[in-house]
Amino acid sequence: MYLDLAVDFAQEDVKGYAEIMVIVASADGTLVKEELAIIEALMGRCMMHPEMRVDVRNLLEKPPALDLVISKLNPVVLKIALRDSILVAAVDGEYDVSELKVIKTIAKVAGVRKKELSALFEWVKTGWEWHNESFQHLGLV
Amino acid sequence: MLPDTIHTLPREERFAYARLLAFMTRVDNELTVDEMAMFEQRLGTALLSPAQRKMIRTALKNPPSLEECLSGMSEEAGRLALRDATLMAAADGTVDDDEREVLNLIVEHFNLAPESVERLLAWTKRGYDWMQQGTDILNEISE
Repeated sequence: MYLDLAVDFAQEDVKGYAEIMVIVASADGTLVKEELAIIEALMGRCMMHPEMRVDVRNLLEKPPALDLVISKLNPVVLKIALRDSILVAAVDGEYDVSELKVIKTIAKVAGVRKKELSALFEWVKTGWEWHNESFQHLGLV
Repeated sequence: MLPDTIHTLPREERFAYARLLAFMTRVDNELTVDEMAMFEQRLGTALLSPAQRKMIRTALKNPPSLEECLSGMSEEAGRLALRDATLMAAADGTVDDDEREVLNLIVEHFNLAPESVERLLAWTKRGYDWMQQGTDILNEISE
C-alpha cells in the first residue's frame, strides 16, 4: 500500500518542507527540469494547496535562508525533509558539494547520525534502481 | 518521485498521460487519500501548465472514457501511463477486478506482453516496500 508520512503534514508544515526542497534544488546554482519535476511531485504528494505551490515556485529564483526554514519545522517533518532532500539532490544524476552541505546541515539539526544518514543515501540508491527497472518492464530502454 | 522521463514528453502527451490517470482514479468509484496523493504526485511530475492542471482536476469529477484517453496517445506516454496507473490502482492496498480489467485493456491497446500487468504489479509491490523501508529508517532515527 502506498502510504507516506508526508500525506499527513499540517498545512503550516507543508510550506517549510517544500521550501527545503527548493533550497536543495537551487543549492548548486542551476535548476534543471528534473529538479522542477521532483519538487512538483513532492508538493503534489503532500496535496499542497495550489496557491501555496505558486508561492513555492516563486521562491525558486530566490530561495529562503536554510536556518530560518529549519527553525520553523517540527522534528518529524524535518526528518522527512532530510530524506526527500536526498532524493531531490540525486535527481540530476549526481550529488553536488553544495547540495551535500545543505543535507548535512539538515541532518545535524535533525539529530541524525552519520550511519543513519548513510542509510538514507543507500535507500535513495535502492529506489533509483527500483524505478529504473520499470523502463525495462515497459520496453523503454 | 524518482527520476522519470514524463517531463521530456511533448506537452499534449503529458496531458494525455494525466488524463488517463484521472480516468484511473474513478474506476472503482472510490478515491482514497492514498490514491489522491499518488495522483497528485504523478501530476506534478508531468509539469503541466496551470490551465491543464485545472482541466485534469475537472476530469477527476467527469472522467473521459478510456477510449478517449487512449485515442492518439503515443507509445511512450501510454506505457508510462500504464505503469503509473498500476501504481495508483495499488495505492489503496488492493487492485480490484475493475482496475485490473482497465490495466489489461491498456496493455491490449498498446500490444504489450500479456504478463505486463502482473510484472508491473510485482514491481509496484517492491516499490511500496521500498517506501516503507524509508519510513522505517526515519522511525529508527526517532527512537
